[in-house]
Amino acid sequence: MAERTAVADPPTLATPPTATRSAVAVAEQELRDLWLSGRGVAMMLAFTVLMSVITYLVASNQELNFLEQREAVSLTLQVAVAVGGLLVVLVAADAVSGERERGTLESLLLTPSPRRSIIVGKGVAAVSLWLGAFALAVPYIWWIGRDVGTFGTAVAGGLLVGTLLALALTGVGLLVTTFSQSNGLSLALSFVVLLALYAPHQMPAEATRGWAGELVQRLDPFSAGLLYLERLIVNDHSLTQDAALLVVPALCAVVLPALALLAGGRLSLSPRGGS
Amino acid sequence: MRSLARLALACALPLALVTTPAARAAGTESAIVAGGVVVALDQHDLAAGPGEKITFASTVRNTGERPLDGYVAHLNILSPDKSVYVDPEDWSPRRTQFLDRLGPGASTTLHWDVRAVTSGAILLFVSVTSPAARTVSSSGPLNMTVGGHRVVNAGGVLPLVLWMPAGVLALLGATSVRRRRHR
Repeated sequence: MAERTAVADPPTLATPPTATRSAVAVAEQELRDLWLSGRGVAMMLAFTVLMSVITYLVASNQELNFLEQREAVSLTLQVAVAVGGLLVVLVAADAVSGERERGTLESLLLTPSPRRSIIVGKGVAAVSLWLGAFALAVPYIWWIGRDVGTFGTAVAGGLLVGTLLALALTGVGLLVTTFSQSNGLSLALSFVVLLALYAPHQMPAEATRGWAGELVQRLDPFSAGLLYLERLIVNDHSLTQDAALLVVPALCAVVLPALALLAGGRLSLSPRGGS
Repeated sequence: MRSLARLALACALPLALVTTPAARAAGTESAIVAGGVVVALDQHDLAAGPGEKITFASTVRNTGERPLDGYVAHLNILSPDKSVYVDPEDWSPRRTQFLDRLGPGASTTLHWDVRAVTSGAILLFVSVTSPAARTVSSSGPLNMTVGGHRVVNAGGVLPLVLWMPAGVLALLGATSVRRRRHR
């Protein structure tokens, strides 16, 4: 025992980074890649152009200008949430399959970062696009709803619903990209899922009546989230009045990223498991 | 002058025949009175803007000789215009009130909160029914006009829709310059 205490401590090797520290490092790198490379800003440019066109039409086009002001706020916010979700899917679906195609996944897997940290970092970068898009949507929402006192609730509701949907879509994109060999397949599959989630909200009002229609509206996270926003803004409901509609979006926002994280633990060079 | 008086009498006579004294007590000619229950509203015409909250009162009076026990009052909301969609739940979440025991000759006042949701002509009235629903008394109508179908004012839209993309474009230019410098 005495000898042991006398022996000097062995030289410390570089300790592997903790999962949290690795995730933060990967997230920093991904955010830098996304925003400083100009890719994220270019997406924001496309987003602001779309928001400008919609705002201009809502304000000046006779076909759209019949909308009651609250409905116009609701429409603009719903477009912001839907397009924000699209941007998130674009980045999340490229996260792993894109690296595979560019041949950069190997060097990423050779870093001491745990594989799940890589997935977390890439997920953070994808969600940051939604936050950027939402920040840019705020002036438009303020301008359209400036006289009807809906700005506060619209922003709070939009941020809540949009973030839940962005998290869910990040989970979808990361799940698909982890198991896709090609980037094209990953993007196509993710878009199909996004469209399938968005489609029930576009059904005519008659189709959403009855128990089946209502069930679809409540089970589909997109329809439920957008219906929540509509009731919040157009019908002037309180933030908590239709909280039941947010149960499925909240579940998806937790379960889908968790599944992506689980799948991320098996991240390998080939989606079929070969390293 | 005499012919005018004759005309007034000719109009008043049929009205006097169809209107019961209890309905007259309700304060409006079109009230439906049954079972000695009279319902009257404190307002008959109202104008509101979309999203505006309004409160009105209804008075339920027992004109009968027996006490009223377990009666229920309900607020009805509809539009006579078929192009106006009305979901009463959006207009007032609390549309049913249960009355306390009301002795003969006694009355009670109920308050109703309504939020104007859709623009157009809206009709509101309060019905009171007995526990066995054998009789239903209704108040006269409260005619509500929800005007001010507010649309977005296009004034000043151009600076917003032009400057926002221009700002992001400038940011994109700045990131591009930064990238070139770092190469």
